[in-house]
Amino acid sequence: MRARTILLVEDNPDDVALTLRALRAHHLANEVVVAEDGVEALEYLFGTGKYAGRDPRELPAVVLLDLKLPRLDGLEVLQRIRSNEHTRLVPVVVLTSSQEEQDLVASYRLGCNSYVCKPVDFLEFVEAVRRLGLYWLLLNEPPPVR
Amino acid sequence: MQRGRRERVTAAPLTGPVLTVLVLLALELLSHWAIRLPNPAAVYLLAVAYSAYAGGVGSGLVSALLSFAYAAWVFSEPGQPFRYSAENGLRIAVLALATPALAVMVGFLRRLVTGETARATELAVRLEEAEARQQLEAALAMLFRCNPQPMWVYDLQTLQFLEVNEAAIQRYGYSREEFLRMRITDIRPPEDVPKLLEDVQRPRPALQASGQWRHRTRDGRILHVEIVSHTLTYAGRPAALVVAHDVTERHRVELALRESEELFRSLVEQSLVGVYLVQDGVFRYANPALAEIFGYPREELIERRGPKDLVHPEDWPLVDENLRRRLEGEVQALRYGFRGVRRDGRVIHVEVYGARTFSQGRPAVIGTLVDVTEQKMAEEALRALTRELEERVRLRTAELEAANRDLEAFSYSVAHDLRAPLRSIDGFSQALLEDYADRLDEVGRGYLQRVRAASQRMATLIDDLLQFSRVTRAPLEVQEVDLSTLVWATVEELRQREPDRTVEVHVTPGIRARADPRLIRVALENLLHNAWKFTRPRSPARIEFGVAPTPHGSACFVRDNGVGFEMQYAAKLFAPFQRLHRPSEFPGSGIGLATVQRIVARHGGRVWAEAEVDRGATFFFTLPGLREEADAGQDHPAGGR
Repeated sequence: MRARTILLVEDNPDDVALTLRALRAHHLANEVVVAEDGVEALEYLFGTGKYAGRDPRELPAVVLLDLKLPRLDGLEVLQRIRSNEHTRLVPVVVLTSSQEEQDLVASYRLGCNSYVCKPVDFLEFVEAVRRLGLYWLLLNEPPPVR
Repeated sequence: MQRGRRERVTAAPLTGPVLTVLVLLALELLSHWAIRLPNPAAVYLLAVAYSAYAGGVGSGLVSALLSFAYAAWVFSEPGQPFRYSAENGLRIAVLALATPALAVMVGFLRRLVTGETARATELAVRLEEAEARQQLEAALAMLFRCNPQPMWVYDLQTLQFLEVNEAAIQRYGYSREEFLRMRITDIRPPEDVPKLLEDVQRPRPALQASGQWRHRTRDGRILHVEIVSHTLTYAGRPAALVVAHDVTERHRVELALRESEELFRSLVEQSLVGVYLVQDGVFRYANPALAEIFGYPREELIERRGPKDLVHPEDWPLVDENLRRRLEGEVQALRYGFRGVRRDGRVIHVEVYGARTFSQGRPAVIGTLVDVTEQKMAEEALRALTRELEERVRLRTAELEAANRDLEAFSYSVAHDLRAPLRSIDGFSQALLEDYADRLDEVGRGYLQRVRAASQRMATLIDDLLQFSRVTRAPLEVQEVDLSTLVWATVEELRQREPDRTVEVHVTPGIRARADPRLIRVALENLLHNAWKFTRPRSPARIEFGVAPTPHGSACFVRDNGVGFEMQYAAKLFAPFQRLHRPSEFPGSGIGLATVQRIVARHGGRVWAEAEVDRGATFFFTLPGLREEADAGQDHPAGGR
């Protein structure tokens, strides 16, 4: 069984803490990599920069991607992931505060696998993260590694 | 003829006796050798008698004298001395007495004979003359009677008709007898009679042309006649022969012509547009309007100035060429504009329509001219204004677009960034409650619950605000929408959210309108959420959706039997953040109805409310194309539950 890594791309440390807390609550947090902006997320995926030397063939089970990010925003990250042969098939879940239709449309057009709006109510948030973790880590069959 | 005959008679007295005597003398001399006349002197008696007969007593006496002279010579035989003897003396005496006596006798006889003949001849001539005169008079009478011009003779003193001809009888319709009973005043219209009487009393020449008069026929028609007359004596009375020349038709034509001329003259003279006639480079005619347009006295234009004086020098070549083309018949008419110069030097814009015509047999241009300076200036001003407006619109649009972009960025930012801290507040409060519950007492936990509740209320507020701004910005995509179906969908959602509540819902099926389905759904949701919320204390709660006639036309309504509100606050309802209830009673952001109002307004409709405290509220709104389709389907299966 492959490592069940989650790549969490999130610049807000509060959201990172709350997400990790939610995942931990359901014992899904054993392997969570946090990238604080888009550039770092891509470095992780391609094994460059800060993550130079990492085997890029090791892909996360799911990328939880916020849209509003410093340096390179979520939509650009998604576009890079989808346009690279190596990362083209990795599951990406957009996890964002935005309910704007334009964000939804753009995300799906660029090929996200799912779009989840972070609820303000923490209990609802925990529930959402729990379901996400369960689904993508346990239920979903990841694409084959090439 | 007669005159010639008389002359011959008077020539006879001298030549006759002399010739007769000479002839006899010649005969006697001739006979002297042939035969011997027993009494040659007696032969001369024949000559005397003839002369007296042919030439009268005078001729006879001359002849007698001559005869005596000759006879005296004869008695003295030629070559023989005269011998006085008693016998010879007696012979001479007898001859001297007898021949004159014979001459006188024959002369009287002749006078007797020829006098009778002359009288007879005279009578014959007179008869002949009378006959000729009669014929002439008949011819003259015929010329009067049958003259094709109406004629009559009237008595200059009594004004009575004395004679009329056929033409007059026919033209005037009176019989001859009727005419002869009338006076000339009787064939006039009454109003012309005084003038006629005055005219008749004036001294007049024998032949007079009296000009035009009006006559009246027997059937009342008015004839216009030209009268010529000549005085004469008729049946011993001073009279006048009148010829009446009927000029009624000419008069009518002249009158029509004059009226027509008058009509066109006044049209042209009073026209608001300039009218001109140009020939040989000068105005043959210019109406007052043309003179006024160019600021000239009219007399100064006509025959004294031409188009060149009124046209702007830069436009003159164009006008000159256009005049030439029409004068030479290249074109019949032209319409164009040019600049003119007024007498005071001011430049004006004019438009002309000129056509080729003839004046006194030569080509000319006649046309109309309008001053369009004001229109030109107005057009120019309008163009400038339009340009300015367009520029302002462009600027304003750019500003609005910038503002819109800012607003969008702002909303986007609010959506993302305002929510994140709230999530932190809520999340960490929850974390505290979960992880440190044992170190907090009841009050502390209560405070944390309040923090969480506040953050969640703020989240709702943010969502409502975002929705409010979205309904303003989103483009309107209008289509046919079934409102009843949308209502049911929302009601189902509400029921799923609060399955424990008992709410009677009645929805009239088939209510349709032309609207943006997403926006109208937001509006209906807001209204139904309110109804759902404010009927919470009621059991059973009732919500009704339908269409009703209102003073503003057919309107949709959402009616509930909830707590209602005081009508004096009804106007405040639709302003953002206005609330009529305390949050502790009924939570809400105060934006829902403002959103409804915006959505309805964007569709061109209006929204209003009627309510009574504790008796419920009804919200009405109108939409374009609102109607109820009876065959749109049955009541919703959940209806009346």
